[in-house]
Amino acid sequence: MQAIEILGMVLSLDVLVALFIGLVVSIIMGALPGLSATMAVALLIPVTFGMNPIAGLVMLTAVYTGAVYGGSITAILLHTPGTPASAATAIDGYAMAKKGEGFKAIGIATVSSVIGGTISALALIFLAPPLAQVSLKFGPLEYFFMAVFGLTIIGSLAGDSMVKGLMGGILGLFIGIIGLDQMSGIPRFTFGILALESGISMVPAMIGMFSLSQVMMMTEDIVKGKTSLTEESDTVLKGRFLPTLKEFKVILPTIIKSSIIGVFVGILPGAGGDIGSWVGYNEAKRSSKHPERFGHGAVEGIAAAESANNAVTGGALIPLLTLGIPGSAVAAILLGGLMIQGLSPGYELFTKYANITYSVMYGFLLANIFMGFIGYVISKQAVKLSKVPMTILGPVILGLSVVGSYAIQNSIFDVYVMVFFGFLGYFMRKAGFGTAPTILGVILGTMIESNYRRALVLSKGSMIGYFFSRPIAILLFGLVIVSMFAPIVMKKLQSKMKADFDGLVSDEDRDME
Amino acid sequence: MYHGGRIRLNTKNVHQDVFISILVYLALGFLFVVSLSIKGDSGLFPRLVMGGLAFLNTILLFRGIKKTKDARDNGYNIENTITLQDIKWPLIVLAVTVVYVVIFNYTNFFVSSTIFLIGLMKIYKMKSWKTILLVTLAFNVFIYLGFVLALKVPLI
Repeated sequence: MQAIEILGMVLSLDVLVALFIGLVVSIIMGALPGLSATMAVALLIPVTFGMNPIAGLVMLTAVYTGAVYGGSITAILLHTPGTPASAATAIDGYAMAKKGEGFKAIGIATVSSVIGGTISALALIFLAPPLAQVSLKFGPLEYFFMAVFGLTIIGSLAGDSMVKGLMGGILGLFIGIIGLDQMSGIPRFTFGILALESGISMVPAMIGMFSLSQVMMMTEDIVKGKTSLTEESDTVLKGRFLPTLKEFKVILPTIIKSSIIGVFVGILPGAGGDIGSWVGYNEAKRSSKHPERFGHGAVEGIAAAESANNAVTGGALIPLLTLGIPGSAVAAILLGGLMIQGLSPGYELFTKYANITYSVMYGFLLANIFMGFIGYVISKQAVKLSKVPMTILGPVILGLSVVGSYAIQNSIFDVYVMVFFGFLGYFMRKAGFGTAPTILGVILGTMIESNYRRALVLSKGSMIGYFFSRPIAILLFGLVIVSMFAPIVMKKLQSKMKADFDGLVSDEDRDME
Repeated sequence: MYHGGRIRLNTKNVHQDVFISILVYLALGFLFVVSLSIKGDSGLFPRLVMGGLAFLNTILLFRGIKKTKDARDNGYNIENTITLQDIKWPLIVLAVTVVYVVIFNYTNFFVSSTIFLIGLMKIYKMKSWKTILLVTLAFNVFIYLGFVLALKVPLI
């Protein structure tokens, strides 16, 4: 595949329009607290269904990176992170905004996000193809362990209770079972409903779980008298946007280091943008000559957090495209978008469908660069939009959820699926189960069952002997065991960093007194 | 509950995890019976999954009982996140959404959306008719241009 040919496809009008719309919508959605990158991708998947695969998938990857960046805008100006990935940005960003340097802080966040995202896109372009070749050596047993490995990330998505997280994940496995058995054609839990024989439609289920349930949560706030997503007063944005050359030289090493950290965190299953930004921030503070400036408006703090969280996006796409293992909830939904286009992750994506895959990866690179220009233009407006009353946002999101669920297959049954999963998602969130593990379970469930049963057939009655004859399967089994304990370490790391930050804020309070 | 300087403990309060756990057991029981009618190997994996869920549900039940007991022993009320007061309005919104889908099924998307958007914004106690009509119009125009004209989704 010639680079010039790919460039031609990426620079076609429909791809550029999709990229532009994806970035604008996602930056705005990312800036609105409560509307996550996950929800942005879920709501836009139906739009991509009618588009050509390159335009559709470029749009979705642009939405992913744009929403993560958008979260920094309200984190800096209103001390309300638009997405959890921007929590670390709020520390120094808001401190700068209080000094009247909010616009400059957004500028630093923009430059850092662009560089972080670009580095991660390059990592995706260069690391994914060789990794995809490894998938050629995979048989059913290896794919089974790979899917189980993917399931272990539930621990990090579980929220407060590991038991509830695992229950959510297993519920997802069960939902994935509904429909005709792929191997025998026997209907399972369809209750005579013909529409259920092809299984639960993934995208409507995801829209329900992330969007409808969010509007139901919003309704609770509306009833309690809360009018908009953010209550902070307007911040006047003035002054310089881009950092000076001197400032840029100061933050560049931090940006590069945090970007590399972000890419590796992204590749790890279960470690999303929030963990990436905290690790990047902490490392920047640890290695800084002036760690005391962190928490008081240090430009390196913003640069570290923002470059790391955007670098996570490209990193998370690597295991997704090569092995079909989503590294995060957003990546899981992106997998749905890939499947809608009739594409399956793995080696074929880099051979048979190479023109699509490379175009999407280059499109993602372009999206990260364009994000800077679009961010510069709309950051002021994005803040104003966070003041849009929830009484308008809620009905509009619900309307979009209905049309989005319907548009996938022009099926009213899918809309009812969305409503049911919205209901389920709402109560799961209220009860502390979280919805991300369930979605992951739905995706990986089919992969686990079909590959396990194929492996059983291939083992010819001696599964243990078969297992020990496959070194990659043994290695993957080891990885499963290791990753089961990884969330505990990650959580301790994250709480330690947050504790450090709390200490820092207390010091600041003392200084003010 | 505060009554004249003394805190009265609501001893009938039970942690919501206990109720959730009972509901999950009931659902699992029903699904297990259904799974018995699935022939051959096809029923094996579902039963395995249900077994896993039942195991975790047992842990949830015991934890819920322990939380209830701890609260009673230490004299504090359990603050459940799922209360009728909290979920009443979200459930009304859900019901309105169901009505929206039913109307969509029998009329078309634009008729149902207009009724839904105006209805829900009024339920949310929005006062300005100008804003309500403007939002409804903008939404319908956006969907018409984006979905009907560009994506050829048959919404009419």
